[in-house]
Amino acid sequence: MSLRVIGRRIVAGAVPLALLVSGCASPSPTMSDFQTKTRTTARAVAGTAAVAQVSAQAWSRGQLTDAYADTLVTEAEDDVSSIIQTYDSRQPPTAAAVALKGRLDKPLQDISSALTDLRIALRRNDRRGVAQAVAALRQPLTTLGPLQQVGL
Amino acid sequence: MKRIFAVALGLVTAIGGFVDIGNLVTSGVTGARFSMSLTWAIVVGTIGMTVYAEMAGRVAAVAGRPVFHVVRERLGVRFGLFNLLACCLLNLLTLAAEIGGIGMALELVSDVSYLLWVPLIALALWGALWRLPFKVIENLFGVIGLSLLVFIVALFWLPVDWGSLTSSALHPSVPPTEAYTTYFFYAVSLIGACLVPYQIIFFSSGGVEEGWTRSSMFQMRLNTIVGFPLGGVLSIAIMATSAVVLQPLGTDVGHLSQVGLPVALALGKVGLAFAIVGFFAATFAAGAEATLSTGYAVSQYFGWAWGKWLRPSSAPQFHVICLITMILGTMLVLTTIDPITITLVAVVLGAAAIPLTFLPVLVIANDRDYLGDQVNGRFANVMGVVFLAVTVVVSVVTLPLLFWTRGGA
Repeated sequence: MSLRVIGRRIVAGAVPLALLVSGCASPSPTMSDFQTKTRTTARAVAGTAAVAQVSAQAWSRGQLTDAYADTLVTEAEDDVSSIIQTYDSRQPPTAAAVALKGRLDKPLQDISSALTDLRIALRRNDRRGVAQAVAALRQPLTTLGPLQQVGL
Repeated sequence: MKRIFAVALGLVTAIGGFVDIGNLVTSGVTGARFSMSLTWAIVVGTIGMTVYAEMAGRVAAVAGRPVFHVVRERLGVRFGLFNLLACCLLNLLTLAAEIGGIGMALELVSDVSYLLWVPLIALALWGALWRLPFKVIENLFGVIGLSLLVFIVALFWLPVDWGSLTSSALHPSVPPTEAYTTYFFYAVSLIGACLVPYQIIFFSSGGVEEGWTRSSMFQMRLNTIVGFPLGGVLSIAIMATSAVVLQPLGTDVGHLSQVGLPVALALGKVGLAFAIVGFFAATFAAGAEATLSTGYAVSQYFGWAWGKWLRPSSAPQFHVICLITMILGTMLVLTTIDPITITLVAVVLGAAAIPLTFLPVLVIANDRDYLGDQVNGRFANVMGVVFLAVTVVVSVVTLPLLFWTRGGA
């Protein structure tokens, strides 16, 4: 067997193995898996939005520069958008999972919108708008609380 | 007086130069996820780095031999070549991560995307390597990097529950929400961030560049035995500020900006300015060191003339390799791969490769033909063997942990 053939076989075996191990684009085949995904999504979004909230408050107190606050909030907005996209790509396996997804969708969208508003207000140097956007984050963050414990 | 100044400058440089993007990111990430329960990993990594940097520095001072001379001689040409390739790949990843880190520091000041800064950063880095003397590169950015001490000041300004923080550090445990594999993956990444191959290569080659002799041993030992551990304390302080501010928020740190947030909350814009200057200096110095280390390693392996003190016409291969490294590192960042991801991959793979650098240093530090009466004593050998064993274990578990945890997700 030539080295080239051996090389091809190694690649042919290693690529599916790497994909399997890294879990790329794997579905959520059971309710338990979907609950875990929901829980981690809720936690990730809550943690990211909380940083944006704290950053905006620090900016209002004059502790953060405009550029730094904008960077933090823009990154939070991008991260939340990416997390939501990943969660939406998962197929809910049962009717109960569809209902669970429905419970999470609303606060996720509210947080995403509030972060966009926050970024716009920060870039406009609009203190009132920042305060409103920070306030708008409170309710969906509270709703996410129980969802961070789903399945435990 | 001049000698005291030189000693103090070397010490300060060692502290400021210890921290790079790897330490900044891993300390910030782990503090937010595991509080202080991974402090032991920084302690292990820092002691290991201190032990082997002292050995490599001694070999450079007494025998005038930098690390890659030793590697080729003791590991043989083929295995040495494997080591060289691993080292170059790691240096490239590290350089890309550092360039990304400099860009992110500039983004925090300018609000302009880090990617737009990357070409200018590459030019500035190359300009610094081309024009500035070795001493200036080493000392200037090392001293400015001390701005990161602001993290220690911030820690005392924040409302800290010292009992809980200390307890978390002294009684490490895996948080209930985290898997053991994830915990150990981050332990490996912290150890890898401290035990960086490029720093050992740079330290020993720099010693030869500066003309270290036996009379330089005191300065060299002070830098490693005092300076590096103080650099480790800086990493612990970054972890602690992250644990105090970001962990209660439930944040997964994924950006350099988040690492600096606790400083802003404690000290406002002035503290923040120090933190950003520190980010810039630490990553800029490390970028220069990673570039030079690649030039050193390749030139030493092939037996070419090397050194910043040599004009390009006298050491063309060395300068061309540095230039190629810089171009490749810049291109890697411009692919838009997240610099934080590159950083984590670099520190983890670095942890896997470190025994390849440590073993030949340990062997030659025991060779009387080279070191005469300066060979390792019993204590240095015990420490050397223990940390070599630690790095071998780390090396074996690194890749399985990387895949199993999906990169610490």
